[in-house]
Amino acid sequence: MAERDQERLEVANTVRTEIGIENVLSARQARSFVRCLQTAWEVPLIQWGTNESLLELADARRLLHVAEIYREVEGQESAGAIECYRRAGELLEWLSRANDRTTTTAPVELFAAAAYQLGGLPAMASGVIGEVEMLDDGTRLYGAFLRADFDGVLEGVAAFWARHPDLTDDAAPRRLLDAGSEGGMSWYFTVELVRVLGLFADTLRRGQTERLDRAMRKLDAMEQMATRTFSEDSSLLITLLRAVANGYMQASIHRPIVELSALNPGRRQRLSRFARGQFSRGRGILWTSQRAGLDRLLKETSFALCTPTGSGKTLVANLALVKELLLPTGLETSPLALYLVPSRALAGEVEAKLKSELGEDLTITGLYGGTDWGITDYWLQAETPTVLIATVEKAEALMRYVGPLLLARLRLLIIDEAHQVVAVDDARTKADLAEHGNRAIRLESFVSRLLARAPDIVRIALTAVAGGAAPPVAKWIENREDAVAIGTRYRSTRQLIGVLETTPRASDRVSLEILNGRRLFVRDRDQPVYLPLRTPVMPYLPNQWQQSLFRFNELSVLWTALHLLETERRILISVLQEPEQTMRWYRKALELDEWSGIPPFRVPDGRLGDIFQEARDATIDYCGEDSHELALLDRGIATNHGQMPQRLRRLMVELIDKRICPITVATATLTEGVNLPFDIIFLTSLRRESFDVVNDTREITPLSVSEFRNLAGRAGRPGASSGLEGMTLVAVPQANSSQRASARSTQDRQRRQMQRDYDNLLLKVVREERQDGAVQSPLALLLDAIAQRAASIGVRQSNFLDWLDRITPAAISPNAGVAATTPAARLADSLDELDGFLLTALEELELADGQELDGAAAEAFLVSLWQRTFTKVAAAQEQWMEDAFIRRGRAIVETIYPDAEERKRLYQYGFTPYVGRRFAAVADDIETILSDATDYGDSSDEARLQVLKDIGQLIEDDRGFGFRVRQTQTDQRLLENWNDVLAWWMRSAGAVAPGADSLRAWQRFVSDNLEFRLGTVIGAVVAQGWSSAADDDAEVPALEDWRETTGLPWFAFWARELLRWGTLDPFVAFCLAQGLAKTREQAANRRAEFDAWLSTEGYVDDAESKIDPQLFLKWEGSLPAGFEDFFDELPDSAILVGTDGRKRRYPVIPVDTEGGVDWLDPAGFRLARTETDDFDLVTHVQKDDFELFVGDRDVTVSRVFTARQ
Amino acid sequence: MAGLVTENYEFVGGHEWSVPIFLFRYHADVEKYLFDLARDAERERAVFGRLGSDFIGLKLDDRGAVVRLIVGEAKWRGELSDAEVETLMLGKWKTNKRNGQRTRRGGIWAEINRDIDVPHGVRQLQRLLRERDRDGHAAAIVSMDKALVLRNPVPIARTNLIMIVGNGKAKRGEGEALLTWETIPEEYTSPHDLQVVEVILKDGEDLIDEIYDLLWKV
Repeated sequence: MAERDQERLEVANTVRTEIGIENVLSARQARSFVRCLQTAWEVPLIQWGTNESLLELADARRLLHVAEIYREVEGQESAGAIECYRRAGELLEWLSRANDRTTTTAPVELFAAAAYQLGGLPAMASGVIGEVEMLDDGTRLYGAFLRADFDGVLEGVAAFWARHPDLTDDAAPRRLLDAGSEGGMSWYFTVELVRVLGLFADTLRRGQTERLDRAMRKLDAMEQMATRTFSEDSSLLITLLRAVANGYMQASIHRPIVELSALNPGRRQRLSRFARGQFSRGRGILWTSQRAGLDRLLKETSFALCTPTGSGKTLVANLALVKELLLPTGLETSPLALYLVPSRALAGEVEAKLKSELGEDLTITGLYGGTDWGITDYWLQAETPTVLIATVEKAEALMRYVGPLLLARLRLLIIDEAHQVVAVDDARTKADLAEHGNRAIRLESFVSRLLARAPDIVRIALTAVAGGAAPPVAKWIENREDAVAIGTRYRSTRQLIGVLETTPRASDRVSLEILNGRRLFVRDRDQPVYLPLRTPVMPYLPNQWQQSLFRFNELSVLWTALHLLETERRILISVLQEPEQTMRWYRKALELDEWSGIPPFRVPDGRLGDIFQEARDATIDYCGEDSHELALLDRGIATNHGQMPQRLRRLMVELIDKRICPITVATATLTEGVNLPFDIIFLTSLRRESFDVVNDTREITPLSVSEFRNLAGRAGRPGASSGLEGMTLVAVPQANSSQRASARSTQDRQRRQMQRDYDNLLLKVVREERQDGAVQSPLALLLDAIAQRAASIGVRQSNFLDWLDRITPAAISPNAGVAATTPAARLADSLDELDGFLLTALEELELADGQELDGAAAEAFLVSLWQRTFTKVAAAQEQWMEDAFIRRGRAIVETIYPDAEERKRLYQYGFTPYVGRRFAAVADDIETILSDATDYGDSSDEARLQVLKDIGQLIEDDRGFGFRVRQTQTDQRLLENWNDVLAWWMRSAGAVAPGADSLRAWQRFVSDNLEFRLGTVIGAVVAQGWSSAADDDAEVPALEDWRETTGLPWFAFWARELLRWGTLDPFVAFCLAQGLAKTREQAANRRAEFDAWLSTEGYVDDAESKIDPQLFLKWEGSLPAGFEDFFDELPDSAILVGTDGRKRRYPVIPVDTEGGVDWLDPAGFRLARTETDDFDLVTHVQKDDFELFVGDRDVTVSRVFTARQ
Repeated sequence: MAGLVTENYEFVGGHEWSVPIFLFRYHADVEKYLFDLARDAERERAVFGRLGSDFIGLKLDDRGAVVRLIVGEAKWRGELSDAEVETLMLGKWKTNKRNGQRTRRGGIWAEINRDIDVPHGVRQLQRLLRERDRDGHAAAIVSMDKALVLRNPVPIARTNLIMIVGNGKAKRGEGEALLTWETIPEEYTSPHDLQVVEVILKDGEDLIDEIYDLLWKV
């Protein structure tokens, strides 16, 4: 009746407004939360009475009731219901974690978990269950069910049947009913509940809808019975169980998979197995955002998906790949997907995950190494569908090499972390743009061009929940004004922000101020929440050290972190700059006598120990025995920063991910790059300082809000029991560390400043949380910068467009293209950056069409390109921007770079055109050096090194395409002596290694200049060589043609890889790239194997053969494959016991009994038995699926699904 | 039986009661099977809180809203001796381990006196009403919502019911009551109306068995 429903809703709204609004806590609720935290941290508790617990419990019940009202009246998706379930879950969770004595009939955790599941927070549900040790079998069973651990449910169920074999014949239920004894009904109900949960779990996993429906209906009936017969709380539990089960049924991944299969029934089994595999990984129940994403996928539209960190986007991406690559039939060419990632680190992670899930069906290639296409180039010719994982830089290179080929096969574009296309509007970004180092604009450029040229491909953008970027990204990707991102802004865990108050001679105290973006108050006054830590007081540091407040602060953080490791916590100490200094301080501190009481780090056993060892070896290899990194690693502290060699960085990430090292010291590159959540993140400073030597100014860059939020977003690990909330704490000293009077005013000032930095940041965090600001596009920022700078040198607004028609960078400033910082130079370089954007777009078009562009054609194309830029959909841009864009583009073709041949060359080089012109001068010389290196395979180390030195020499002085360092003394000296750095990096004999303190500066030089700039320059020359010689642009570059086409020897092919891995021997680079060795030394030791193979096979032993990649690949193929088949795939024979077998096939679960295995229907009825002492019941066998087959002559049981180890 | 009696006899206050749905209730300690997944677990399970009234009935007004509740305890005893009744009403003797003192704990009086305003079981009753006829019972459902969740709801008036069923003691006289009935028993301290029903049977077990058999016939 509609009228009454309205009244019911009003009642519901009253309650929800009173106690259920998201992120608004009443005073008592806040205190309950604080109490829970205090218990978790083992610090003294706030005042709290039993009565208050009862009131909280009562409130939780009210919320649950009200949620039901919402659901009944508004439907299952009711937002009001979700809000109430969440709050109920929270209230119950807090009572549970505070070890509250007030209990209900059933453990509070079960109710909390159920509430969280119904509120769409499965990670919290899982965490809550994980928090408590469940002593009763029943509680454990329901707990497993409520955290969607279906494997666990079946384990519990099987154990039950093993204990009660008398209940497994099909007359058992009747017997129980007839028994009529005291409590007989209750026992009957219990047994039936076990049956139904077992059946539900099994059929849900397998995707057997018909039987699942029956299980659901039985559960419905049982709920009705429970309401009549059990007490309030027990019946409530059953009601909740039923609702959660229903939710699981609706959200099972099997549903969309079945729909997807309709596109290609031949693939149905494979897809079904995929879905089953997801259950095996604990991902079989979809989140709302995933369901929405899959829904869109099935409707064949492009979309943007917004999910919190570490959650469901991988699945959506995977299914998009399945849909666009695996399912289509009748395609002309084998389909291709491009998966864009923001960093090499993330590329590695994505590649590994994809390979493990879809490696059998797709060719998955990561392109993020040194060479511009993978050494294993088979993907280009592959008949199998292919996924290319690439950073934007690599994707650009790909387009230059094989653009037409790529576009012909491309069907799907996935952009990960798509919000990175948003530019931060500040001076630093503008400088980056001028220095051609801004990633956002590269992303905008690449994607816009792709969208303009291949408008029909499916496009998916994946973003984290990053303020305000989602709507414009959605519009951009869908090319629709009214597009809306799919997803949720709900975090999967709670997030707290606060201060770690460090104090000399006292224990630290944590003060928590923000909960999920809002201020947290305990009483209605402005009083933050305190957690006075019980960690031991840090010993007094050596006097010298105490003089630096900053040093004291950092060491306090380390000291506290080391004492917070009892639980499974993962801690990150985030350093904004100069990590080497922090590492050095930490190392020295750990060597102090006073610190020797800290429990030493223990290397774990088994596989984890192996991983640790591998990382340790790599650390020695790349950092040296004496390095800080090694010293800290031996104390269980992992380190990570942007200049670390790739390989080492990845190993460190693994150490962190598997919690082999509980503490990490890292810069922002760690958190930007990979999905690594932490429980606590400490920040020791909120500002970056640098000194501009040229202008003699000190620059202070405060940490931006978005960077802070990205960082804070990594706090909190969904699903982990200690990760129910993530904390980001900024360390602020509360007293001076120095005792000297002379230092007092300085340290006072510093303390005030740190406090102010924090207060300012917090204000912005809270403010930004509430509104979505407009976003800035990088191209708009660039155009704006150009316009502003032009105005400042006297170009009037009315003349601006005309000015653009004819001005060249050289005419603006003699210092163009060398990263100079004068205003004129900046203008010239910004203009050059714009020219790069335009030239690339125009050249791609020219090459595709095969005919020379004229001004009119250029203009027409640019008009359409502009429509596809991010700029078009981001915050309001003005018409003049589009005009400027088009005018300049036309000018490039007609006036600035009118020679089509030159344009083509400049495009191939990959630099911005003005820089590229200068480069042309040295390009030929470099080419000469490369083509002369035919003896490289036979040369000595010294000679090999010389080749690279010669090339480096050609570019060492050019600040545009050549080496570039910061203005510090150290870096300048490095530049002068770069040969030494090269020798060290390439492991040349007798090379001098840097000391521990200089290591990072050397690493930075290697990363920025040797790997990147030198590598780029070589790559540009090689690319030019290839494309000028290749006749057909749609031709597939094959290894066998490589030398002939480019006219260069193998050295040129390897040069970039050599620089990337740090070796003079291509074979070593190959081994490392292919994972055939873990360190350079190991790889070098395998050389002999290859040489032996070479002579055995009878290949010519000349210089070129020794480094021929084709031979390397052949050799690799000749190595024995090294895996064992652990599973005995032969079926086990069985005897029928409880059935006549007429249905022929029965899903079964194994139950371990004396002398054999009983095979039971998941509802607990014994069907067959295998007598054996030999059955290898590996623990957790319930992760797999078994089936009983009744043939004409025999009866067997086979394992039909195996969970991955 | 409580339901039958309530609907068909006149109780204190002269209200007209309806018991739209009968709730069955089992003993507290057998619910623990659900959590132990065993019938004879050795460990003592602490069960806190009231398990719920044995019985709830409603009085509805013309519009169907709930205006009064009758809430009760129904107990069966094989033999209703004086001692048995005393234990029933006042609770069992328990020895305090620390000081050796013996006191009575539990019992129906204690339960009924300290009950919360809205008794447990109302939620379940409401649920069953929704199941049976959501539109027909709409008014009752809403009024129960209000009683259950609003912070300061208009309190629903209430009658407490005690029903004792069992075989009479050997020496029972005709019309002899087990509990005082001319005045309010002094052990009863709750402000609500009280109704006591005593059903004295002979060979009561047979009757009960017959009823249960009828119910479970398939």
